[in-house]
Amino acid sequence: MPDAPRPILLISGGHTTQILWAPLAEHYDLAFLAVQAAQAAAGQGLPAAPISSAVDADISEHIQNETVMLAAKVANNAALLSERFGGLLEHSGPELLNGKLPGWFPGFAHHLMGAAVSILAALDAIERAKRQIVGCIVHEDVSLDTRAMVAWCNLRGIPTFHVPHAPCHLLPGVIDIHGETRAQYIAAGGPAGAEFYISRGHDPAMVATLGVPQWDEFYHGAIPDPLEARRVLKVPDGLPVICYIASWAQTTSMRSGFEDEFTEGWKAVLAQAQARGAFLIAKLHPTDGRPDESHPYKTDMDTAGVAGCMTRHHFGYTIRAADVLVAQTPSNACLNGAILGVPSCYLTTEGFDYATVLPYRGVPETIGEAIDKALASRDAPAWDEFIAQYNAAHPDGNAAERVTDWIVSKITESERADVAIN
Amino acid sequence: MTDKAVAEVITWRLSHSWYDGLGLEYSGVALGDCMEYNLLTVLNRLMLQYQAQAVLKDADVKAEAPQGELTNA
Repeated sequence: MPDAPRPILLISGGHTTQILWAPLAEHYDLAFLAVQAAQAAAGQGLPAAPISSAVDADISEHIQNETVMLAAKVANNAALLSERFGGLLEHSGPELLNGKLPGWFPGFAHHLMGAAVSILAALDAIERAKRQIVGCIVHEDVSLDTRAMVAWCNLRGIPTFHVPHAPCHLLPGVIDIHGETRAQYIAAGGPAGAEFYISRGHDPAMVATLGVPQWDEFYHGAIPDPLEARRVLKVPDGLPVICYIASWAQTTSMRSGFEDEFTEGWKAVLAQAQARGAFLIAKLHPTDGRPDESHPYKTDMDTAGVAGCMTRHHFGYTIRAADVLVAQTPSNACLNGAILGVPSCYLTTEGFDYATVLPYRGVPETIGEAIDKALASRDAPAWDEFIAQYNAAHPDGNAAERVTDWIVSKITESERADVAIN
Repeated sequence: MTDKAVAEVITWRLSHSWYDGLGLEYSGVALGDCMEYNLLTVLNRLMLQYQAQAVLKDADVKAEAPQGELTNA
């Protein structure tokens, strides 16, 4: 008699959960939203496939037909929707929301609903094939595909887990899209993260404080020593090194004005490097979608006569080479730096902050003082307290093990409950 | 209307209500909820463009005003 197929665990993909793939694959077959993640996992010899592989030609045709019918509902209700959007803005605001909505919204909805239906139809197909889906892990579920997957599982009583991709910078009570998870369980990185989610109305019993799996590499990974990092980045001997952690204006941010703020911040950091005769590393945000050539950092350094470099990659090297990090906003990089023994400060910004005293804060006019304080604080115990608030796995660096054990135990609990009910 | 007021309107009211009663569901899932992030992105851009245009218009009016009125203002 052939072995029964193993249960399936749905995973969004992405670097946040990557370290969990292998341990979870000891228990489940992995089905990924992101095709590239499925390929990467399969390449490691793990039992993995993309969810979309469940879609055949018939299902594909069904998806197209269903999406057209759904879009027709939007088009047929254009007048009602126009009133809802316009009324909400008290019939002021941009014309595209106030009077001209029918000209674009049905097409917009068709495009997005098609993407959602594709995922949902694939999950339906897996269910029809009598494969047991036992859980679902997402690093966020605000975007369309992850939210669709979580909603589908929630409706069926399948445990859903949010393993946050952005553990830093969210204060309790702050209204921010990062708090908008529909997942049943939340794996908070540390006490500060847990408090943020609970303050947003999530049941404390469903929030576990476990650590940040994607940061385990900073404890056990192949991180270069400072000398190697400086050699690879061609830092001249004897120069102090400032690493500027750049940011980007997210399209869901609660306000405007980021570009001007970031320009002022960068100019202040550049002036500090110039005054101190420091080597300056401009580290681009990894998910900043703008091309490298569009950033002024290296050109500005050359104009100001400041030695330095700009890179989107080599994160471990940029941190290890630095004497101090200066982040444009609260950043995970400050936590990663603290784990690696590099102090930091940052430029304050409206709506985002840490819940802790450290790192040191500054504005463009005072960032020099913050840099001095950070440099003087290297190896201070207070940095450990900062890390512990955001990574409960500090200093062991075993968050992946803790999160894996927790997910497996919750899925087992759910399966036992199903057996008891049936 | 301030940035924050704009954000509160578009984020926490509009996104959760625009699809009510339209039957936009598949396999039991509310598709309007799934679209939240994409919709917010578009709405944010539209509202911020609108604000920027309003600021420019206001600046034009002030630039054309007689000096005395500006001082009094």
